[in-house]
Amino acid sequence: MMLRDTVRFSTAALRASPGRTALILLAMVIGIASVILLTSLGEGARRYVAGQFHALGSNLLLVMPGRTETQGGMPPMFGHAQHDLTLEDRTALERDPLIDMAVPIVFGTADLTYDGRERQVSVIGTDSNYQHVFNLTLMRGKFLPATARDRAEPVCVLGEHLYQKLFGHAEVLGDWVRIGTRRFRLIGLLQPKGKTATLDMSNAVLIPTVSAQSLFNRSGLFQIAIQTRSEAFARVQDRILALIQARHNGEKDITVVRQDAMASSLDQILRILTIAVGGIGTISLLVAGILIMNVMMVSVSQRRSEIGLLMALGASTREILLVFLSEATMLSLIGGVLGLMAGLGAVGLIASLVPVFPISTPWWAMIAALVVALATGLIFGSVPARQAAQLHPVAALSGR
Amino acid sequence: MIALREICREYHVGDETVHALDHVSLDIDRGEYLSIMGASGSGKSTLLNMLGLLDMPNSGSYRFEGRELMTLSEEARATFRREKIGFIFQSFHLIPRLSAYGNLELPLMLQGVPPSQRRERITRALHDLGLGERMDHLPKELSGGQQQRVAIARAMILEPPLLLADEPTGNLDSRSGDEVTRLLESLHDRGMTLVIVTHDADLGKRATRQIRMHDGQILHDRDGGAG
Repeated sequence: MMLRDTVRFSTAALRASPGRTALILLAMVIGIASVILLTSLGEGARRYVAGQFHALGSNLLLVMPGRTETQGGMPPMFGHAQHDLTLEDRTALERDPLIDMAVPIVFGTADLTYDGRERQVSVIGTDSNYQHVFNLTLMRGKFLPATARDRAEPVCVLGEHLYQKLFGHAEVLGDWVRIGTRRFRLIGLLQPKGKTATLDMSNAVLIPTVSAQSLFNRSGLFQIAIQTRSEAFARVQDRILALIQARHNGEKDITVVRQDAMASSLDQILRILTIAVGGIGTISLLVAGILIMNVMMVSVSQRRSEIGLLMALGASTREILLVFLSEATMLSLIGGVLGLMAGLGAVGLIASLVPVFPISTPWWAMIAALVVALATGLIFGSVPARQAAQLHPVAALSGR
Repeated sequence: MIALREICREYHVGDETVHALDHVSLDIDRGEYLSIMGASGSGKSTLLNMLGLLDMPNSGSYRFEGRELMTLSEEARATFRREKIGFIFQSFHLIPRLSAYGNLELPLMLQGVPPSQRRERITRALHDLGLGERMDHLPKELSGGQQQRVAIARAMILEPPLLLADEPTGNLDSRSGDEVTRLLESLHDRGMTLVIVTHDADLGKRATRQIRMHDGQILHDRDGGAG
């Protein structure tokens, strides 16, 4: 039998039982659509996190007190070092020709009060370069002034979310607020930007480094963010380590982490997670496969006399096998394509309903979905097809 | 044309062995019109299935046009059935979802006849049997006699040398049965070898040669009948 005739014969058989065909198609559609949807959600999460990291700026190294033995991964949050990182270390780093900017960061939490309202906030002590290194934009007012670099000027810049919570839409630029025990004048509001890996910027207040040090009664720095001039991160990393080691009496007591190293390890985790959720989706495909097998087995037993007739007319066992395999394959492929369309439709719907979430279908998931659909049809269709081909002609003709 | 020698076919039903064919030897010449009669379980249908290679003997020899068929592979047996045998069944065995045209197309599809040549052959075959107007009808839209005529057309469309009919009139009223009988005899008149298995003594006696079977053996084999 020519391939065209096999397909035509199988199509007629599928059309003759619309209920059965629709049931199998539905199962395939659900299976494939769920694989597409789950992997798209996973990929969206990965892109979202990657985007957040990208917003931090490239060429970024973070210097932290304390030593971690592991390579890559997350840095120690609070290192126990022999020596603190200091503003002098910062100044020394800045002199290195490969370093563009070295931004000191002091971190803590304190109560912010204004007009009787109080709220616990993240306080970041830093300098004017912070804005460039972390790509922050101002909604209104000014950022921390350059004059406050090493001086405890009583000024602060507020995150957008915090501003909304505390003041609603009142015009408060220039007003005084109380942070902990000290008073600061509000000089700027930050544009909403989202969360960085460690801090929720929209819920933070920024004050000069020295102000933060005295507020938290601390002489050291939480970390120094370095923006390099060179792409040769490993070299810069070595120079930072050597320079600080020399300044800290030969002690190797800091950790230097690349921002994108953290990003890439997170990226890897999320990629594996995407594959894992895709794998969970394939369980529903397995169910669809078993349904195909079951329904086709029923079909074979209902069509015994037809199979017997085909044998009497001279169809070989191979041709009988092909007829039933092509039915299973057509069902799974059509189901696969419809499922792909349904999955992409659902992804499109989510994209339009939640525009900030960068949901996206990976190309490999689309190809894998179709390949798995085809394989499902072939594998689960082969059992009933074999059953049909192995019938004895006389028994089949009599419907036994 | 056909030479069966010492054909045996046994079935096992539980612990019991049933000898459906017990050392049957039979020669059939080209152009013969043969009826096989006998009670239920006498082995007549088994013999017909052997002749059509739907079933294989446990032992013996089957030569067709001088060629030994006992050693044929599964694939070669399928080819033999397609090219040499036309089957006609009591219950017609038309595929219900296919029109008369579609049912007639099946043997042509299996034989690999190009689609361009199919229409003409099918149309001619249906016209010859007076079913030209029924080409696009489904089996359920045809009378029993018409269905059997479609089945005969299907058996004939590749012009095989041997036609095997198992109770061809068994499901038909007498008028339709007569029509079908006349149709089969006209095919024999055109030179076709015709073997009919039947319970119907009247039909059986019309054959030029009659075989009566009993307990898997040929009880008697004689020439005669109206022809």
